[in-house]
Amino acid sequence: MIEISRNITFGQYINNGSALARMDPRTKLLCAVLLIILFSFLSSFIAFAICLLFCALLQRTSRIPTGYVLRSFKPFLGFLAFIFCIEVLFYTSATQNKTLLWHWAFLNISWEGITRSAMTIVRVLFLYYITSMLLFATSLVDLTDGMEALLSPLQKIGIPANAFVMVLVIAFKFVPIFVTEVERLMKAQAARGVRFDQGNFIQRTTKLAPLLVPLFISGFKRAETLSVAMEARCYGGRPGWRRSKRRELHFDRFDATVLGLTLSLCLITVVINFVSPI
Amino acid sequence: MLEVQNVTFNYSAEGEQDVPPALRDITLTIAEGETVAIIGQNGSGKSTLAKTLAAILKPNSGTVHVDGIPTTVRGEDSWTIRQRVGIVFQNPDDQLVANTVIDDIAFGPENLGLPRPEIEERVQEAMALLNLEAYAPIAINELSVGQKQRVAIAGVLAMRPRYLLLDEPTTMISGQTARNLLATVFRLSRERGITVIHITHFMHEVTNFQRLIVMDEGKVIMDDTPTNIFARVAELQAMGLDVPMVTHLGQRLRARGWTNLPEVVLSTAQLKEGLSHAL
Amino acid sequence: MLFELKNVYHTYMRGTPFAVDSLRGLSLSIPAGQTTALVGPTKAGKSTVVDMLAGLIKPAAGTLLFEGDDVFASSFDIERIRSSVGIVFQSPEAQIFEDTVGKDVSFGPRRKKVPLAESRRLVKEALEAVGLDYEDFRSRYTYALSGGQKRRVAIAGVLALQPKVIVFDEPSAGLDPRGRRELLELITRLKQQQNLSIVYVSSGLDDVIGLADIIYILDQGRLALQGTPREILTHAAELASLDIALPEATQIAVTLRDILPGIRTDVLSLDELEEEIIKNATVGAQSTIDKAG
Repeated sequence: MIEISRNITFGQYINNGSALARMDPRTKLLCAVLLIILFSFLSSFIAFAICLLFCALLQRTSRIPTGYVLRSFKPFLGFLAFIFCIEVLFYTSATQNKTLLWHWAFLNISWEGITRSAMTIVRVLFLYYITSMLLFATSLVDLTDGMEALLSPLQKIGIPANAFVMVLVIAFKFVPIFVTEVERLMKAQAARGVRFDQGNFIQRTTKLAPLLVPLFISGFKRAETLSVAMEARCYGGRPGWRRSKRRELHFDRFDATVLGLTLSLCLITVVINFVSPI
Repeated sequence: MLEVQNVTFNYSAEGEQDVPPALRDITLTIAEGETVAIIGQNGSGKSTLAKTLAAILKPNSGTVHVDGIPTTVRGEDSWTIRQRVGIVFQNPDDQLVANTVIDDIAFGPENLGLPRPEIEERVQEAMALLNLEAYAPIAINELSVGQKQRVAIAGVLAMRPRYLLLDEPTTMISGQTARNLLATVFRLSRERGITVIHITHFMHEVTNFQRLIVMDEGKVIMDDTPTNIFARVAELQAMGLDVPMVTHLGQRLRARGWTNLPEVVLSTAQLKEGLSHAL
Repeated sequence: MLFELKNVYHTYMRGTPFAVDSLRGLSLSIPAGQTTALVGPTKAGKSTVVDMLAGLIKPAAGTLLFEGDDVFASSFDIERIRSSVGIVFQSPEAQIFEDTVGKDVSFGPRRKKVPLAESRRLVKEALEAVGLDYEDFRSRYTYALSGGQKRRVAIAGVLALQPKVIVFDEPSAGLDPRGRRELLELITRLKQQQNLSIVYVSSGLDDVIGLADIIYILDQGRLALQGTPREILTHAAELASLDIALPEATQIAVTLRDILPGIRTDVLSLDELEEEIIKNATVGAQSTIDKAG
């Protein structure tokens, strides 16, 4: 009942030595961003079908068990189904009356509504997939190094992108620590009579109160100790301070190929999007 | 050399009453290369003293000098102090920053802005000192507490400090792992000449140190060799501390006729040696 | 018999790439009215057992009996366990979240909709059981308490639910000698004054050697040794190989074995150790003593 760790498959790096895992993180991040923009923009089912092929290829290259990836979709499929229904029922547009199926007061169901809402859902699924795959196939260190490298132009013009990345690194590092703490707190409060798995949704949410106070207190204490420890290792703002990096990122042929492939996909699907009827 | 001169420190803000000072008029000097243990109950001020030496806390009155630089200095010199005085805390989770072992050890040198080859050299050196080479690419979350603590020490050593402060580093580690950690620390002191200052509340950890400082309620009560301090059992007990069982045993056996045993037995090894001569 | 584990198996994160076996066929019994210790190195499965005793997780295989009934049979009401088992974790002060002592200790009874007068009585009894005066402490702010006082308040919070058994999960971890002493005194007091069964989980023998009636040594999810404190200490070599910290007196006896081969390792105090050494050394070495004396 209280085994939270079991269900967190989002964002866990799987180190299987695949070509995907070994790529330069800058390429992966760039491609992910390109694909996210692409998916948000497409509205043709043929284009989506081509994207699906691309995803299948991605899945093969990653060598991650498909079942495992699909299981990560489970938690929010219900939510998506709910959103789909709401969107269909409340869909309004100038052209929808041509395809109206059913109508009651301000609610209506039309083919147009169904197709458009389906498209939104498909987009969300693609976005979730790409983001999950990015996180499954890229180690934390790679992610943050890649981000820092890509954001370095910002750093040069005075925006503290490096500090932002450091914040992310530390946040990620604390996730498992806080998960353990939450688990322990839940057990301790359960031992005092709080039943987290009972009650309806509202009741269950209010039961979180005895978790939040201790967590915040603990969080602040840790933050204080950690910042002192970091300063003791000379991390900190002083005029003209610049960190150097031990790791080097290498952009090679495979990266170029993947980048090229992604760009081609973008071009092809955009063209299809404009040209195709559906 | 670390010089503490009439230092007083109070955690409470101005005007808050009934909070006794954490440090009261402390004066002491620690020379380079010494191995010093500081012992006391919780609340005796030992951690506060460590943080003052590391320039994390500034004294309310009095001065602390690290190699002649006052800890209240600002600017470039304050970072010199931070590099020279390394500090390791109780909980490694609250000190380690990066995802993998090698990246965390590199954190310090990276902060110093060192060129890549030098960072690599220092990281390899620190890992070798703590036997962590095999763990380099491992995620820190997967390590045991003892291993994490070694990573924390390696991370500090990569800064090449002159002084190493260990603030109750074995609190979350037990038995053999804790002993191994201490043995490593001593080896570092011998091989590298690093000044080691070990803060603890476990009497059995202090026996190999050259110098022992006993603190109580913000003051330094005793400052001597472990052997001389362990002889003052009644005074220690009055402060809520005690000597290890083996020391008590030594006293009792001497009283029962084993007078060839040393007056103050510091360790079981010593006891064994003393007994074997008599048998 | 309060609890019985029969050939229990458990795996964490079953079915994921991160699955790990925590219990592999563990069998033990926890008698009512006594103090049982579960000792083992990390990853021995101790936390898993605690979770099971609290009714929080189900074993993957094997049976768990509570007062003779199968806990995971469909006819069993899990509330029976949950209201009978109180758990005190490491750093219990970390679970305090209310602003006053009275509110925090009464949290449990309030959850169970206990009437106010009864709740007050439970809080009073719980605070007195941990050595805190009810009138003095009930309206004190929790953030202003010392670490030791917070710990007592947290334990009182568990006692307020009047459990039949309290499980202490490595409660002395991270405490300084005085804190540890106070904690053990508190538990001894509870043991003597309350009609409670106690289960004490730890990674070393120091705490439990004077406290427990029966000790189970766990290793990698299985039972390695069991017995009274004295019986356990006779297996000093095996305990050391399992990386379990021995009590000081035993450690000294083990080290002296090289020169005093007959010395017993099941010594529970300094006095016993002293006598053992004298006994073993005098036999055959009387003349040396006379010379030295």
